[in-house]
Amino acid sequence: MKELPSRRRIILKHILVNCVIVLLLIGLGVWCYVQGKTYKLSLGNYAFTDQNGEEHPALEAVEVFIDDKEPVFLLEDDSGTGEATGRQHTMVIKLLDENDNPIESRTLKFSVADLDDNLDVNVAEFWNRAK
Amino acid sequence: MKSSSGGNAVTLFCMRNAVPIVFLLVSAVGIYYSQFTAEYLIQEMLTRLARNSFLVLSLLIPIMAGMGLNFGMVLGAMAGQIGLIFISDWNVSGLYGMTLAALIATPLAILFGWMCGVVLNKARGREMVTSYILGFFMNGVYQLVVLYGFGSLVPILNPELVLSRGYGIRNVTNLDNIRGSLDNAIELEIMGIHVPLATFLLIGVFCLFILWFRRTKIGQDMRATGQDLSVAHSAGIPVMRTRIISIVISTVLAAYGQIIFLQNVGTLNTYNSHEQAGVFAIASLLVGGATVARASILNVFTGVLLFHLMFVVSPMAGKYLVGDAQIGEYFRVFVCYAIISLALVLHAWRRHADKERARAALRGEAGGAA
Repeated sequence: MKELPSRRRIILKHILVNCVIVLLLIGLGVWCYVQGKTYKLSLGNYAFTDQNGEEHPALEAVEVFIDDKEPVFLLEDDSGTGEATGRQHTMVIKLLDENDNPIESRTLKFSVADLDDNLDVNVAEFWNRAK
Repeated sequence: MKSSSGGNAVTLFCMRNAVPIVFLLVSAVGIYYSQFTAEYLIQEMLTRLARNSFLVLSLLIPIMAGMGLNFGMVLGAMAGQIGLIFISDWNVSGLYGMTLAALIATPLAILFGWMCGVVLNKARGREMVTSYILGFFMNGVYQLVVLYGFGSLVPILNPELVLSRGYGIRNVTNLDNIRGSLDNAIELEIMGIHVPLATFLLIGVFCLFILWFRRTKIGQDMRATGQDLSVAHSAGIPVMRTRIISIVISTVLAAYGQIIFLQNVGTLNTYNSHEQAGVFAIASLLVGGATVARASILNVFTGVLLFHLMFVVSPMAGKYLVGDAQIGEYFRVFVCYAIISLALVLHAWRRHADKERARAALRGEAGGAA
């Protein structure tokens, strides 16, 4: 005949199950935080010098889309703010002509972890990187 | 003979559903005078159903356990709001933000619910008034913590949330980061009317949970406890524990309900939003024909519909009837409290009438047997 589990064993099992549930909930909370955290990026359109010492000018006029959100319009040496939710993002930069019609578009995937502490994004640099 | 028994049945029906019938009649008159279009009213009712149903549903379980209307649900609402303050500070948005707020609110709501349950067990038979006063007491504690603790003891980094003196949360917290995140999670539009489908699905799951819960061991224990405390105790049911569990579940669900409510509204009135949550939810349930001792899912939806129909139509009806929308506003506020009073009086009167009827029937049967 199979012996019944002792009361001590049942209590231990309950504690273990409760601990696992609490840990899972904490894990869910951390995951929600990482996925839902919204970062305010400061977007700029400035000339820059790359690692090879080559100088690149700022773009004339661009529209910047981050994760399909409302676009940010930037002129040469202009700055603005954009929002990005989560860790991985897709930035679509549309180069505009004199009539503000897009003439070329480039897409770049980036992570907030790649940015500096101030979350500065130089659109001209990203444009060049997305080549 | 038949017509007399039919007349009795109608009288009994009217007696049992006096509150919803009165509300239906007043609302019908209000709709006529308000001159609202059907589309507008349907849209408003759908929005308000999605916004309030979860909060009202959270009241069902304590009624099942015989603890009456849980005015202590404001404690759950406070827990939900604390969760929302944190996600606003951390700038976590969308459904992730809502889930995180619910996860933060859960342990707080369990703690508050347990405290409330222990106190209510000490005040058996006076649960409603005790939970009502407990709500006031905890409101003071909440205000103390949020006004002095947040920003000083509890780190709040977002300067938009903190008062200019450096600690304490501002009167109004903007919930733009989660506004409509659940309501708009699944887009559905029927004939130009936006249906918050995801919220309704969640409410549907909650209804199924309540139906399932009633059939579980703990659900049966709660029903037995609600019917007769001493008989349930004699039957070996841990009545005190069961009552505490019912309040804990209700408080946790009220916290989730408040989060759903506020994601729909989009603004958190830091020091006031929770105050009216209990009164309005209870008024809605009573308007739906529920009593202190008996409530069903149908009562919840009927009540929310009728109560909020009155909320929508009364200002405009007041404007067209007497030329002042403010009259309608006053009307709906006093109607809210009057309904709670009326329901409580009707409940006491009905209980007395039922007892009298039972005694008369017993005497009649005894006479017949003799």
